[in-house]
Parts: sequence; C-alpha cells; structure tokens
Amino acid sequence: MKNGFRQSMAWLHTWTGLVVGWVLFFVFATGNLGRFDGEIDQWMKPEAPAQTASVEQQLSAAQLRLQARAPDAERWTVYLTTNRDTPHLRIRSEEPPVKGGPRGKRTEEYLDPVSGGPLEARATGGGQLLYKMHYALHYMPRSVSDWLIGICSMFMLVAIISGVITHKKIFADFFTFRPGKGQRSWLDLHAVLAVLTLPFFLMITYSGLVFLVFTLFSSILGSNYGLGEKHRRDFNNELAGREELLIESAGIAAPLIDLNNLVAVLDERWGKNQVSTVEVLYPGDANARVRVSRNMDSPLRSTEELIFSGTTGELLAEQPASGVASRNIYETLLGLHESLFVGWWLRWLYFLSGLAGAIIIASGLILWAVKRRPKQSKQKGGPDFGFRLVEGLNVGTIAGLPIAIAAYFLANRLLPLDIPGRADWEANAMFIVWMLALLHPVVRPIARAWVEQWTLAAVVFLSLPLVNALTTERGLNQSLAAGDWAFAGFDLTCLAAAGVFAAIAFRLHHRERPVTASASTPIPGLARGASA
Amino acid sequence: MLLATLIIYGGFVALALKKNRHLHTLWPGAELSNDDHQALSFVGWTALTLAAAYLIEQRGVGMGLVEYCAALSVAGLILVLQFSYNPRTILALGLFIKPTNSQSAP
Repeated sequence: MKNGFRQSMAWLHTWTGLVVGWVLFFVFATGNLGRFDGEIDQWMKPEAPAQTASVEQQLSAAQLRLQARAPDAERWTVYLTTNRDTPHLRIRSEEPPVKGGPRGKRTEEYLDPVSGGPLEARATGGGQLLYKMHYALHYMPRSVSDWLIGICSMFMLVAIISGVITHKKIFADFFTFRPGKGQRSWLDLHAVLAVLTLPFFLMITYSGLVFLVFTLFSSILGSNYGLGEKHRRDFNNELAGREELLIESAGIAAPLIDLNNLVAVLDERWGKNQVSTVEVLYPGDANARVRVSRNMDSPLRSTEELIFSGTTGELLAEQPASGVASRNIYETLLGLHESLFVGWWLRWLYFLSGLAGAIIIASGLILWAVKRRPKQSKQKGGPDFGFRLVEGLNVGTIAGLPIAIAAYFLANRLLPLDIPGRADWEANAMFIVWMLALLHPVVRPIARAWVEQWTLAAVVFLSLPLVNALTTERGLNQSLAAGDWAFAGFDLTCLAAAGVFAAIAFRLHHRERPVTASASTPIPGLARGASA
Repeated sequence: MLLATLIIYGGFVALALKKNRHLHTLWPGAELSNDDHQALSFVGWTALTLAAAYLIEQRGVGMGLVEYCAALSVAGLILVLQFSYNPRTILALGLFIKPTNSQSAP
C-alpha cells in the first residue's frame, strides 16, 4: 500500500479489479445477453411456433395441465405471453418448503396452449440458462454461487468507487480518447467508457448486490422472522401488504375455480392482455388464493396485483404497485437492473451500456498487463508466473469466452435431437470450449494466442447464421423477408460480432509482424497494447 | 428522447469547449475570455438541466431519469468519437458560434 489517499485508492482499484476481473467479465457478457433472453430462447427453439393464443386459451391449457400434473403442489404459477419476457407459455409448480428450510422442489414446463401438451421443441437451456449463469454461474448450488457473485460484486463496487477517486482529471478528460498511444489509449478507453456509462455501471453493480441482500444478510431477516423459505415469504407478503396471503392451507379439499372466470374482471380493470402472471396458492384447498399481477410499465418492478379467493372467485384485495418507501426503492433498483419495462431501443442502449461495461473490465485487465510488460519482458529468466497467468487468463477469457458462447449456440443446432441430457450438453460444450481457450495460451506465445483466438471467434460467429440457415427453415433471408426480428436480429448481431472480432484479429496480426517499416509505426485502436 | 439527446449534445459541446484541449482541436490557438467561460458554463449546464426537466415532464420521473442517463451516455459517446476521429463533424452541426479571436479551423 502506498502513501497518500489517491495512491491508496489507485492500489485498491488495481487489485480489487484484477482478482475478480475475469469472473466479472463472464457476468457482464452473459448478463448482457440476458437483455435478449426471450429472443435467444426463440432462436434456440426454432421449431416452436409463435404463440398467438388468447389469455383465455392459455389459462385453460395451463390449469388443465397443472391439475393433471401437480394437484398436490403448494403453488402454481402461470407466465402468460403478454409481455416480451415470455415468448412461450410457461407453467411452474412448487412443492411445500421443508419446515424452516429452503423452498420446495420446483417443476417448470413450457406449454403449447393449442394442444394443451408440452411445447414441442428441442431440449435446450435457451437464453434463460445463459442469462441465469450471470448470477447463478453453473455446476454449483445457489448457496455457493450467491456468495461468489456477492463477493465479486462487492469488489466491483469498491473498484468503481476507488476508480472514480483515482481518476485525476475526471472533468478535464471527460471527452478525451487519444487513440494510437499504447498504454495511454488503453487508459483513455477504460476511463472514458466508465465515465460515460457511470450511471449505468454504478446502478447495475449496486442493484446486483441488492438482489442478494437477503442472502448476504440472511441473519437480519432470520432473527426477526425465522429462517427458511416460508418465513422469507411471510416477510415479503407482509412488506407488500398482502395480508390475504399470510394464510395457512385449511386441509379441507375444495375445487379451484375456473381461472378463465377472472379474465373479464381483469380486462375491465386493466384493459386487454395486461396480466403477466397468475399465481395460485394452495390449489384444491378451501383456503386457495389466486394472485394476479399486471405487466410492468415503469422501472418499479412491483406492479398492481389483485388477490381473489380460489374457491369463489371473489376479489379479496387490491394491491397498488407502490407501497412502503423502502420496498419501492428495493423494487425500483431491481426493476432498473432487469430492465423488463423498456422498449426495443432503450433495450439496445442497455445492451450497449453492458457491452461498454464488459469492455471497461477487459481494458482494465489488459491495462494491468500492458503497464507491466516492458519491465517483465526485460527481466532475467522471463516474466513472472503471475504475469503470465494474467496474460493467459486475459486471452482465454476476453477472446475465449465469446468463442465459448458461440459454441453454446452451435451445440444447440448441431447436437443430435434425441441424445439424453441434451440441454446439459449445450452448456457442457460451452465450458469445455472455454477451458480449451484458457489452456491455449499455455502452449502458444501470447501475441499469437490473441490473434488465433480472435480469428476463431470471428469464424464461429460467422458460422452461426450459416449453420442456422442450413439446419432450420428460418435462415436470415427467410427471417428478414418474414419480419421475424428475433431470428433476423440474432443472425445480424452474430455477423456484426464476427466483423468486429475479425477486425481486431486483422489489426493484431499486422501489429505483430510489421511487413515494412511503415507498418511498424503506431496503429490506432485496440491493437496496440494487446500485442505489443 | 431524440430531442433530449440533441439538447444534451449541445450542452456537452459547450462544456467541452471550456477545455483548451478540445477548443484547440477545433480552433488552434483560440483563447477564451472569462465571460466566454461563464457563457459556455451557463449554456452547458442549462442544456443538461433542461433535457432532464423535459424528459421527466414527458415520461414521468422513473422513465424520464432512465432515458436521461441513456441520453447522457449516447451524446457523450458520440462527442468523444467525434473529437478523437473527426472533429470537423462537430462544426458541421453548427450548434455554436466561432470565437472571434480564433484562427481558421483545422
């Protein structure tokens, strides 16, 4: 630790950013793709028909299916296709929680509302799994991943705040980017993107932590309400003022109303197709309750709710979207983070801000190596192990992760449809490729490894639209002609990504091997530091 | 949103010109008087405030502030790229008046 406040903050910024940088890059990359999780879901289920069924049809199909499959569940949830987050009708049943323990087993299923059976589509984790990785990682239980992500986010928040303090000329350099100047350019890129997207960057990190508040501070809730899922639910219901839901099951059987009977009331209050979810508590019990939530239309994640009796259909309570101030703040932060309320162009801006976030993290990691490279390369016996480790992780993550994500999409198209555990193998393909990408710099010189991985990234992203066109009826020419924007957007984004990766690879290649004297003069942009 | 982005962009240009580095990118050797500085500050901050007020009035506090942050990032990014790669395009928008004692544009 150095003396002086700013120096200490610079030290803190460097090292907090470095230790968790690669995890954060993964979180930003996968989370950012989650902005289009519904579109990716559609792309990964190319045979699933677009859903046009009415709310009534969907509710009927869902109720019949749940009644047949999970009559003894504690709660059912129906996610209707009335908003862009739900491209396919989805149902979920949940068993009662273990007393004082975690929540009961959940079973989810996609339905075809026309046939009433499961949605006929290939087994895939879809965009949902990719999106879920950004907070639940993979191959580990939530109890572990929540803490890992929580700690990494905390480091990130520290890195942001110490970074702002360290930035000496935040106003003087507000609009400054000087390309073609090596380390200077990397620092400019890192700083200028961070300053421009600071509101987003701070919001996304802080609200990400707020998501985990009841895990990271579980004892506060536990000491007042008791531990376990049931008490957490009671707390939530009490906070939201849902007194009607603070109820035990009666243990007396009573038939559930036809959920379709509620639609007329909902349409009258909210207008058509405004209902997003229907949740049934204690289905088939005399104390059954039906909670209906409206679609979001602002950053406030909580929305208006109506609570009905599940046996008579009588409206028991009406909850406004906003409640006590602390809950409003909490729900607004979560709503801002999830961005489910935004239309397509604001969604793209969210996506670009997240991309900027990934570039900020990547450039910070590269900057760490660029700064130390001159001294390290002059060192007797070659660079330290730690330095080589950072450089290797940089290549394998910054260039390797995009390749791995493309592998996930390619596996979706190329794995045989009938192998057992197909959805798991898509994710396995992703992580196997990532491991290979991390090992690759061990056997190759770093500068070559960068060029090779960016080239491969360009090739695999270019191959995605081609493979899609060859294996489905929804290739780019068909999707563009049909105005099928989920498919066209996905394919075009892959092409754009391939173009960017190819440009980076091309530049790095020519920096690495100057053909003539003129080619060895500085070339502006990304290339310099990474290969110098 | 588009209008607000334009207003913010104008404000950012005014604030950026207070810094000699950016001023000299457009007009090498130009000097600003104290009054010029104050005028640019006033224009810049007024534009930023106005855009916020406009969006909040149009879209409500929640959506308004979200869109305001988005517009800030977009306008800033465009201006950064222009200063770095093609400063002439800033002049092309003609959002301000050339300082009187400046030399010719680059």
